[in-house]
Amino acid sequence: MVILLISLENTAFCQFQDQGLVDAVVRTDFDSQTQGTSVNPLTYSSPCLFSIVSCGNSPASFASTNYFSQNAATWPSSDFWVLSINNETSYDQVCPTNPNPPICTPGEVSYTLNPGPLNQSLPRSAPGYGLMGFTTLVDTEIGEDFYRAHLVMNTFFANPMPGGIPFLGIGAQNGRGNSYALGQLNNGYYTYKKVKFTAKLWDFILPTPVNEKQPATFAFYIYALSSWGGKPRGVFLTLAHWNIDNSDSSNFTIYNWNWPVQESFYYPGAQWVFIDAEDVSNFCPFSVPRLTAKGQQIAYTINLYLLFKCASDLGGFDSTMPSGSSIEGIHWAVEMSGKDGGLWTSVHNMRMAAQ
Amino acid sequence: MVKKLHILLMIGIFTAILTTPRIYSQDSDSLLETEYSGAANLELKQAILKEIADRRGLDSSKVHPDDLIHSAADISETFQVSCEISGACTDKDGNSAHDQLSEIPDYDEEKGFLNAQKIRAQKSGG
Repeated sequence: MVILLISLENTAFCQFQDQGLVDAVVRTDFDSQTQGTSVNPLTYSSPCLFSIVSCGNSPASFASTNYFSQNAATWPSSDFWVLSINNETSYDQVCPTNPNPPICTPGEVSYTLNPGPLNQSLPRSAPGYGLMGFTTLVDTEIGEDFYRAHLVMNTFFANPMPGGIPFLGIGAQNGRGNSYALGQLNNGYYTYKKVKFTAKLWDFILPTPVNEKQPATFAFYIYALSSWGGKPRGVFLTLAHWNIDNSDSSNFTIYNWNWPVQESFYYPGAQWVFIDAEDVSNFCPFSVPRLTAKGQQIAYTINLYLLFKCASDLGGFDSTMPSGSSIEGIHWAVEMSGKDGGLWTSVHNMRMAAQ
Repeated sequence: MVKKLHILLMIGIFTAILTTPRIYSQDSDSLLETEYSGAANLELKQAILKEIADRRGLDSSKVHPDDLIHSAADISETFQVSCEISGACTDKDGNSAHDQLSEIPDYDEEKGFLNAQKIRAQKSGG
């Protein structure tokens, strides 16, 4: 009876609200469809989460909100997967007095030229008809009876930012479509700590550099968010990538990141650890396969407790992970730099599981 | 009788799948072109839409891009057409560059690590 109750508790309160991508209701980040325009401006927070990296407080309003939803009769306020449609530089940011790492000139401002607010920077398009192509569909033509979420980025469409870095993702987030945490970071037998999903690399076209300062690259990620010690903490795993590495055999990346807009679910930012799938076994007691070939599909099971513990034990966070922290978000995304390139991936059957 | 009912049920389910409207709400995606990149993206989008609509015998002025995407094969076709029309699919000699790669090619991992640092340095909030 005790075992049954524990199991039921986990099932009821810790998982994807739409386990398996069955309803496939999706929506952009901001709760309001007018958020980020002159009638409903953004609220920037100060000071930022990290004082030693760039921060910003503008612009509060943009020409368009670029809101989008799919598979919902009305604008969804709960039970949805959330889209990230971000294009860097996504807000005006100011280089701090003593930047660490020293990547900018103190006081220097980088301005955004996007038509929409951060995380809704550009409009979603039908796949192949714009830079940020996204759709969910059931491919009945080939006998499938389940949704896949397709992420289709095409940089032969012009980017409003010279050297812009588009980022397109779908995920589940506690408080933004998911009404409860997705799981917990402890190794209990009945704890929902594993994420299961199937990812496919459908196609790609290698991009070319826009300018000499920026290499042409692309990547396909899964990333998860938790929170402890007063800060959101997360891990990015690179599932597929070209001309960009976030880790090698002995190094991985720590990235302190500000996201000062209160209306976005990413607020206030996070401390991230980045590891490439093929390097996970260099640091952790398990391996994660990498997608490399067109048409390749992999059914993944990733123990997020072990992944976060591994990143924490290696010193990836400025505060050691306590056992039992909740898993607040899990997302999949494609990202690209350069022009004249394409990357088409999909994800489906996303589930949280204990075993 | 049971067999007939089963067939009718299957036809009903299939019809329901085909006729269930897919629901979208969004800002006008014409903003993609009008707000920041002049006519270039609009022309490219319209050229892709016309090509795909023509292949299906449809009037491109009366269909939305989402009406033309119902399967992975549709995405694949649009991915290829958009690549070809934009010129991204051909190399400097005019040869097709798209289909030659079946795998993500190798590259210098050390350089890839430096590239990641450069990319992060150009992002907001980092």
